[in-house]
Amino acid sequence: MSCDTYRDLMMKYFDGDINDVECAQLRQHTKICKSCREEFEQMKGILESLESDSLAEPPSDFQDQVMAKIDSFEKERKRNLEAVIYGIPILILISLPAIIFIRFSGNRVMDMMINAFEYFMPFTGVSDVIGNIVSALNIIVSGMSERMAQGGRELMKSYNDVLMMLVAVLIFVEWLFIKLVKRSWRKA
Amino acid sequence: MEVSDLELVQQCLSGDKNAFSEIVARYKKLIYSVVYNLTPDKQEVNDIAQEVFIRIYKSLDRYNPQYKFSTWAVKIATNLCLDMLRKKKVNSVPLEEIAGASSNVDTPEANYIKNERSRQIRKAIDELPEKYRVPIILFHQNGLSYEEMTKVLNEPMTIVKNRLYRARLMLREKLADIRKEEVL
Repeated sequence: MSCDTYRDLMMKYFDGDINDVECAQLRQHTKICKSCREEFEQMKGILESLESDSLAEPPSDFQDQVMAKIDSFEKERKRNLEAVIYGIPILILISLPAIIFIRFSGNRVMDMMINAFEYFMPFTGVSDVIGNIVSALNIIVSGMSERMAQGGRELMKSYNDVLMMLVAVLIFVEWLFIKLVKRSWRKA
Repeated sequence: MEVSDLELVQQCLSGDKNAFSEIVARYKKLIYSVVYNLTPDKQEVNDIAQEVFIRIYKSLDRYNPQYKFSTWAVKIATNLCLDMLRKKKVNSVPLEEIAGASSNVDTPEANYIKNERSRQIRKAIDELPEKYRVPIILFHQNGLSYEEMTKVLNEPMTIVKNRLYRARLMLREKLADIRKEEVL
């Protein structure tokens, strides 16, 4: 057998996968072959030193450190989840009726708001100034959105019932969603 | 009777944090020493090892029970260590004194030689290309089997074996060169 064959046996030896016969063959060969003996001894020294030197102990409070990090990660995740679960539906719930209300009733809402403002602010001049500003804004906005609003209003008039049903369905779905997530929280 | 790893994972997934604490207790030594062996900068070992467990925690729902839990955990640890190394692209290896293995029976001189020797070996390993370095560390320092290494490294047995053989030869050559330099 050539030295290459014994080199394979060496690797098997370091794999811990050598049988008695092969081990005896290897030992026999290293007795008579200097280069193989050197190679074997050197490699054995290196790998044994490597193996003896491998055990690093974690600090005694390692487990606590990890669990503290996990806790803060969980809290963060909960906060994010809360923000999504409560934030988005609340935003929708608040904004949806407002949008629909203004859409349906148009300028009347604006008048109501100005009247309310006048009621709470007992200075007559103020409401005039605000009225002027609002009417100026109205002219600008109405110029731009007249066509869009016209189209939208017509659409809403013809599909009034459908829209109301959609809103009801949306609110119902949101309520279900919140319930489901809360239940999964309790489980977790 | 001891609770199995899979049961612990399931308990964690249903919200029992104590179960994860038990997982950390079981595998902290293994993970810590894998990270220790794969990270040249020893000051970072603790942080990286903690990060490994956080990653394990985050991906518990993706744990495949066909793997041994230890294999899966070592895989996560190995990947994280290699990611960190690639990000840092360390060219110079810090000259870290490895004194942990010294026993108090040895004389100071013997101790010094031993430490010097293990420092050289450590340095030679850190200089090996990644694909040779990782198998030799996992096999000889962390005691993984070939079967486990194929799963951790996602490579077939023949490739893992070849790389480990090649790594041993490269290591011996490198250290033989250092010896020659010392003699001169």
